[in-house]
Amino acid sequence: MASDSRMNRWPMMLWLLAGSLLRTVAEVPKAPHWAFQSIRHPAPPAVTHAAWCQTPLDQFILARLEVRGIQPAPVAGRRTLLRRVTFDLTGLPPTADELDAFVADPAPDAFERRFNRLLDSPQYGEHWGRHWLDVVRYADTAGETADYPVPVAWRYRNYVIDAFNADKPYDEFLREQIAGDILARGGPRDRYAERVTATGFLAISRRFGFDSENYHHLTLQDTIDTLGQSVLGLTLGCARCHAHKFDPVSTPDYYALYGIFESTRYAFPGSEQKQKHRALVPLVPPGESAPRWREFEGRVAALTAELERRKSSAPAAVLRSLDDLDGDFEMQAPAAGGSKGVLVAPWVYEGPISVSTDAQSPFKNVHPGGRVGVSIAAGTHAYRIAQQLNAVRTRESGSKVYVNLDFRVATNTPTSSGVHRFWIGSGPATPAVELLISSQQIALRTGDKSEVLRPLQPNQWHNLRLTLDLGSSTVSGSVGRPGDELSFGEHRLSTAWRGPLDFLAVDGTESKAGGLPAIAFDNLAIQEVPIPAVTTTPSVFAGAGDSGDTRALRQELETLLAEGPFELAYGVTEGTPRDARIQLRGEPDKQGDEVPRGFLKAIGGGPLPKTASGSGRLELAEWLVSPTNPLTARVIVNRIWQYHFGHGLVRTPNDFGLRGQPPTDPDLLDYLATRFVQSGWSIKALHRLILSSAVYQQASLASRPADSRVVLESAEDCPVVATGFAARSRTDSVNADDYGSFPRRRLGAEETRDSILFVTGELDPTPGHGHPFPAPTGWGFTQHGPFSAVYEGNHRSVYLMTQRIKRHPFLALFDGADPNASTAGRRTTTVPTQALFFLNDPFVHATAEHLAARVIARGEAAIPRIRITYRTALGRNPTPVEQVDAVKFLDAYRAALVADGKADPDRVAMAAFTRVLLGSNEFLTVD
Amino acid sequence: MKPHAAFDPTRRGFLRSMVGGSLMYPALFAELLAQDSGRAGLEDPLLPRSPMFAPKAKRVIFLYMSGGVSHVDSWDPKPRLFADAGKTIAVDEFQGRKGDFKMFAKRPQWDFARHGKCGTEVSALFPYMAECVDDLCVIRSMRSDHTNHYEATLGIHTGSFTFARPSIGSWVSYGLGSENRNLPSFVVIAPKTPYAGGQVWASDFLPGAHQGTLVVPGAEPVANIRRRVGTSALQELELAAMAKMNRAHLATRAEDPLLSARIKSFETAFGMQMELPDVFDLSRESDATLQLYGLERGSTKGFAWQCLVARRLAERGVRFVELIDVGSSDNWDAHGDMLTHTPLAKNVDQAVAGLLQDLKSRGMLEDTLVVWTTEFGRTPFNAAADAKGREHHHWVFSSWLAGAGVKPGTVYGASDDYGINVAKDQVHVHDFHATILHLMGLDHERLTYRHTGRDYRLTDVSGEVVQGILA
Repeated sequence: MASDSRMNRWPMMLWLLAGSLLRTVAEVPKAPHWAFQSIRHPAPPAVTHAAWCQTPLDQFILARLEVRGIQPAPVAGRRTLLRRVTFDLTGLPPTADELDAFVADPAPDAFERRFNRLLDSPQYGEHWGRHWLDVVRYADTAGETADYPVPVAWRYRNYVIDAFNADKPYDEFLREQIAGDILARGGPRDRYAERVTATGFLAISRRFGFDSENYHHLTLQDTIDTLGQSVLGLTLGCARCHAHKFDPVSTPDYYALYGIFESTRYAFPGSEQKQKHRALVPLVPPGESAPRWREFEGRVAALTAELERRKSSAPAAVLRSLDDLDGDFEMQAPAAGGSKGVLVAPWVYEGPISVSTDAQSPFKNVHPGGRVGVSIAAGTHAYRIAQQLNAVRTRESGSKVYVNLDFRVATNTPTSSGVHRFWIGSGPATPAVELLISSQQIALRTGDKSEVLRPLQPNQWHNLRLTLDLGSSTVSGSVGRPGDELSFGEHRLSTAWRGPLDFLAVDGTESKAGGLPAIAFDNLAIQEVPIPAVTTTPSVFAGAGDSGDTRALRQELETLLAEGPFELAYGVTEGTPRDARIQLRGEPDKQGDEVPRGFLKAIGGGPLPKTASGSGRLELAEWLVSPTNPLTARVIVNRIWQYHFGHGLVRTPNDFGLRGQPPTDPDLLDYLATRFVQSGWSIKALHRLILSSAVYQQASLASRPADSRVVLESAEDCPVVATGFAARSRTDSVNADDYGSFPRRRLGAEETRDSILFVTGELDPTPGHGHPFPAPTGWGFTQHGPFSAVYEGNHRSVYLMTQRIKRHPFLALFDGADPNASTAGRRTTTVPTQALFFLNDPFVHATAEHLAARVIARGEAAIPRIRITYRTALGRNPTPVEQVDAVKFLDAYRAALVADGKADPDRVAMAAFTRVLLGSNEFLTVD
Repeated sequence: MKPHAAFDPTRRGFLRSMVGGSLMYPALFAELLAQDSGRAGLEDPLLPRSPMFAPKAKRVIFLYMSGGVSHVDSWDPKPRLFADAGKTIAVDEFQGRKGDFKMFAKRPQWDFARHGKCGTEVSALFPYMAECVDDLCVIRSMRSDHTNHYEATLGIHTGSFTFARPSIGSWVSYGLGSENRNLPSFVVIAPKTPYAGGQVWASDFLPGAHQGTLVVPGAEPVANIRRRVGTSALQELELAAMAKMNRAHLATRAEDPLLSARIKSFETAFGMQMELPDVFDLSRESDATLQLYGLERGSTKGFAWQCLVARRLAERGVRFVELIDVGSSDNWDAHGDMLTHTPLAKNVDQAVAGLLQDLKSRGMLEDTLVVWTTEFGRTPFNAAADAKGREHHHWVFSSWLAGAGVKPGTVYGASDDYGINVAKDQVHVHDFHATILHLMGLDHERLTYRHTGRDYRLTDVSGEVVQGILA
């Protein structure tokens, strides 16, 4: 707001002035920012009115209230309290019977039993999981220009819900989300899928551009931004381009983290330029996935061959291979819109390489539809292209591995000569077998042994196929051109290579002035079923219309291709480990110094330990949850507090840095953090502590200077009057940060929709799964025709499909979370279009009519109907006045309908009455 | 400030008999308003706010042409391009790729001629708008940051070419609030979804009240604006019953703006439900007016309908009206053939000219700023000598401003001989935005919002008000 920002300048300027004076007058030694100091273990302070306190945390609150001379609000009435805690823990209202039973339950542990029951209900995770999904900007689409759907993103959503329900320790929750794929490898087997799924936290990072692989640096920025805000409460994004202006986060700090995620392989959702998803992560361990891949590939090959035989069409493969190398290099294709046409992660490269259309191989035995390949210009002195393999095979696994590579080497120029090398083995520099390619010939080398395989025709494409038998440590294969292939028999793999088979590279060095001859590479593939002989016709034919069993065959193939050989997750796996270079001013083309991977120095981080072998994500996760990290526990307990009380002890839950607000009660924050860690990072234990407190059980008063009138919610409430306090003064100012009453709140978007469904009996309480997205085999979304859909359903709203470039209309209207950036807290805005929703939306009308029809079907008279509707919608009986009003309303409404000759006036009037209740403030606010 | 729509007084007796007592809905509302006056706390985000300094414009009508209108075929005459058509031009970047490219100059599809007293040259693509040049300030030195539709569209709307940020309409709403509480402060009339989808009118981190309200021409132009119950009398019964419940609920709680704001919102919704259909009801517009816009009576199709509705919204005090002509496909993206510009121009040309004339004749052009733009221009050259279309071109393109505070009958800035680069007085998208805000009485550097520890603004970290455009 304009006027405010102008007014706010003065204090800011004064503050700056004062700051600069301070600095110049005396160099005051500065303590580190409060949030970067270790978590303290403060004891609860002494209070005068100790009898009020139910838990130690009440002492913190009361001590402050006593200092300010403020009396806490009385205990909330029982109806209010049960309604509050039910919405708070489950996002749904209590039923009238539950409310009645609670009011009638005199047991001292009545409230505790209620909240424990709610904590144990599956609805708890659906509500609290949603809070976390807000923070991690969950969406079911990728967010690049065509907003590709991510059909398996829901697995991560449900993982979050399940984790909350299971009270998964928060440290473990974070470890799994950051490094679940690495943890999963260590077993146990029954947690494999869950842990891999957890890495959806990283994979759901926003994608950019219409060829999002080429904007991967922005996706990594989104990962780092979200990780910083969600876990550490720090805005790290600024440091991408310059040292953070406010927080002690340097550009090297940023790229130390960047390297970790650059060494990580993200599932790819598809984009306008590359319309298929890939690198989805198997939910079964490698030992099980490999044979199932073999079986899958075998069946796909058989079906494709059969369709080919019948001259019919077969859909293009969606999933390529277990290794998912992107060896046809289509992911890197240059395109309009700023694409670079260079290799992207997990490929690593050095030297002047390019991806171009003139390097497309004509052979189609493995990748039928390519457009580009990799080319190295003549005269290059050194280059290297490498990739850590996704699927790790060992000698012990005994498997056979089939490799394909197409290449075209140019004639030597008068000056250029030298040898290119393709090798596969273990990373980063131990070949099991090497192929040496010069302008004249190709040779096979294993260890010290080298053998020329055949001469080459310069400037012609050649195909190389290898069969590596890991069990017998041998390699065989063939090399040549169609009609001129030369097979070679078994050679021993290099004795220097001890397994595993997890790395491949193409490289070359030539120090002579002329450098290397030009070469092009394409169609690199690794798989566990034999590779067909080289051909220039695609293995897939576009055929005439199918009939009968041919159509069935194709359907089977489409299903296979869409679903894969096993369940897949939108997650991450280890990429090729490497340190990142600083990108000057955040531009990936302007590379600065290399920075060792590591963690933020300002909060005790350092370089990645020497023992780290992979990307460093596991080490990062351990650092985040280590007892010495000052932020992680503080940030999450502040969030939990915020979701209970409407605002956090730190009012800027995503920013604990210098620009954020300091905690209103630092001792309480540290007390909660300490208890939280001591409880084994149990979120439910923290809930119990908070819910048991006197602070939580206070009545709601107004949040402005108010009188001391405490109004009871109904005659059935019997508040316990707090004793020992002077009467609350009429002039007391109730500051929300004092927690001297419970803040009233409006229901959030999901709560609103879920409550309407719930009370009208329309809610499907079962968990939602995937969405009815179109099949991936048919995807062709572009920025001109982006993916766009709204899927209705009666599951809880957490299961609604949420899109990034087009928000769900209901969620957008009622201040739902931003699916593009971390939402630290929902805003509550009041706009007339929300009122129009209650007046006119078909959803409100349909649900109200369902309830009205049900009420009427019970065949009772008007008064019982009104009672039932009140109890169902609001959980209480109508007062006598309300009952009279309701009768009048129904009579008037019915009379007007009858006068207009409308059918079914009873039901229509009852539905209108139901809408009135559903649109009321009582229905939509929680005291 | 327009008074809230009131109920038909003939309903009063009816209502009184139905709900009993004197709980007339409007009366109740007036009472609430009185209670709320001067109250701190939950301030209505759409309350009208004073500008930072005396504004020239009270409202904006923002006309956005989707897909990239060719500047060298419309507002930017390039005699050299006519003369040198077919000759080669060397450029160091093409469609986002760096390199040394040899391109062929392509002849503009339409001839240019001088128009009006000022003699500004406009091509035959826009014969109607050409007649309005004495009211326009044509900017021939616009510059964007991205060569792709999605990013450039996001940029011209939000100042951000990558990340979702609040739309310019949301910023204006945030800065100035709404003059008419029965209508939203920011309305977007779009028959189809543009590039970057709803992000184009999203309020993003600004409060949701500032998001654009989408109007889609057709039976129900605004979601839920059509009364679903049979008669207004029935709906008033519901509203009265709800208001009574809400007041009883409020009475047993210390006053809370959270509750009263929501009670108020139903009143406003009721007003909106009455007033918005009235906005869309063109039956009382004269034949002459319809002809001016080129609109057939009864039709809701085309830019003519959008433009006339925009005038009616502007009349009623809506702060920012954006019109998007077409969506993310079948638009100005003329890669294949420049002649695809013809029907698109026909759709907007007379309508926009009609809007300008209509505003002028009603004296509204004096305090209404009309903006015409696209996300980028099109290449003056092509990779092939015989290409019929043009590619994306963000290095320079043309837009225009008209109305309040704008120097009429002028041309600002220039591109080079071929229309490839800015030659003089560049107007970057950020400068463009800064100037629009300035005309609304808002300083783009001070119109900020604190979000994730940073004060965000529409113009990011740059942008200057273009003085040469100001009257």
